[in-house]
Amino acid sequence: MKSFEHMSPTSVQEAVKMLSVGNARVIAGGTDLLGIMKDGLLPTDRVVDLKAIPGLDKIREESGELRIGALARIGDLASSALVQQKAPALAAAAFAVASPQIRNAGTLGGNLAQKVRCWYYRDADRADCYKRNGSYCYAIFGQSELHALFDGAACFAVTPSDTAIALSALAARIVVAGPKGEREVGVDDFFIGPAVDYMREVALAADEIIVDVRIPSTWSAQPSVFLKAAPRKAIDFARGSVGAAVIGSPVIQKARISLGAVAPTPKRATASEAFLEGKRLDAATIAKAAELATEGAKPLANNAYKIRLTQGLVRQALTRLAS
Amino acid sequence: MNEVQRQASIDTQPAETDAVSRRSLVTGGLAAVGAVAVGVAALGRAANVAAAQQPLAKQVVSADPTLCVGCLACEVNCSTWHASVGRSAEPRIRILATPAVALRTEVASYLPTRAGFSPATCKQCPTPWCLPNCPTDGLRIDPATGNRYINEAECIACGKCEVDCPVEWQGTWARNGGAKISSKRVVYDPALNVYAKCDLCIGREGGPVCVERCPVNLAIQSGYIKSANLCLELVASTEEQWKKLV
Repeated sequence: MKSFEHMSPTSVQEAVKMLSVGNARVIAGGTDLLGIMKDGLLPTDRVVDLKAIPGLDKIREESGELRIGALARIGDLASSALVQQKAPALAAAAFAVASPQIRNAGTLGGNLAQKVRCWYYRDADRADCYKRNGSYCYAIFGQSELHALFDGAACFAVTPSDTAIALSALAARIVVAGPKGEREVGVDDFFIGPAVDYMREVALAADEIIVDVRIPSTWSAQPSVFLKAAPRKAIDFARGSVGAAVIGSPVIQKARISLGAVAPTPKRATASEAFLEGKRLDAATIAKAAELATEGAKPLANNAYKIRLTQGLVRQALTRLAS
Repeated sequence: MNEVQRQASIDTQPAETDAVSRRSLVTGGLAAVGAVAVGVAALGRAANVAAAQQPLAKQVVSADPTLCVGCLACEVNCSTWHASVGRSAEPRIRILATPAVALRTEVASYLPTRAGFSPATCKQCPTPWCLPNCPTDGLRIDPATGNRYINEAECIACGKCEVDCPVEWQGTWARNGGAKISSKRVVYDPALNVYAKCDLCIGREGGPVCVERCPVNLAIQSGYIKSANLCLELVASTEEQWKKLV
């Protein structure tokens, strides 16, 4: 690993100032950044450690919303009684992340802003990958088991975050701090696809950090679930995942379904959501909604299995919400 | 001279010296038809006559939809390169969703489900209809290559070029769920409030970036896929070719 400067700001403003210089990176749990630095995937001259900033790890209820500081550890989210009660899908997604050791170090902010796990991007020999400022995607004619069914554009890597899928289903807003103060971004606008910018996964400028995640009262305390499928039960990234939340029982007024590991961003199953409105969750409705979830999928050579996998996850998720 | 400087020199090049623009068409056109009345309409007609007499572009991007897998690399690269030299990031080449188009076996054996895409861009019309009614010197013909291009620094986004463009997108755009913001091959960029169209990456070493970086092209060039032609390639711009372009 190359040498770098380590800085420990004690306030958000100080951190933002430190980030405005050169190749500065944010570190919190470090579970993703250290691997990236070792592999030389992102040039890093300065590491700004957020852990010394007080108050950024609070999980609390404010103004009727569930609010979670960006430094809240994944493990704390999984075991928090408040999160389990107000956002069951988020607690389940947090529990599905990696291993106990990683959950105890990794933070919510870091989980949202992590880089993709495409095996070509992470391979030191593939320096001309788009995400490494190159001009080629190896997945298109290569091994594409991990890659996107939807919205691939030059790059076909998928979003690796489990918590992002749950937060997308819960209509969360992300609070971002930068030199001009704070701004709030809806979770669906926070994640950006390669058609907008293949070098970034999230709408964060170099000198911006995530400070808070807010789940609105409309969706907190509603029934919600998160399911994940991966070859290993632990320490693995999703091959398919679904976050789902519904308002209204037994007749659904509104539903939010978000799919993971099938697109570069959390993919809202908008056709399924629209279909479910005003319906009861019986077997036929659930089957149709699951089928609609993958409408428009365009698999590459090796990832068509994700269609059936994702449909199965949606069916299971809705069946759980029905009971 | 670096890439950005080279582009800046193209943008600041005065129209009347070298490049063909409406101004030179009107002057030349008036002489050609011997017009005496100098009304606006007469100027326009004179320019239209002159437009038909312009030299052809040397080259044009030709696409083969039976080889396209809709990866959008051409759109993304077009956008990224133009933005990197300070121009509109609106892709000038678009992948159209054309479900009827089948993939050629050589490609379908790798990616059977990714059929139904057609790349399309400005056809560099032999008679550049977009050019004569541009009220500024925004639309030009590069004297060296014959490229019809927009000098975005001069564009006032009046939309006349889009109205005059004779070529519509034959289908919906594959990206953004098919939402189109322009009906013609000259596209509006709301971010910069200018119009953009394929300029064949004017001034770029290595030629059009879409052709250079098309993954299917690279697979064909490396022998991975057998094909006599490329998915995107540069061909001579002629009247005959114009009719064949997607």
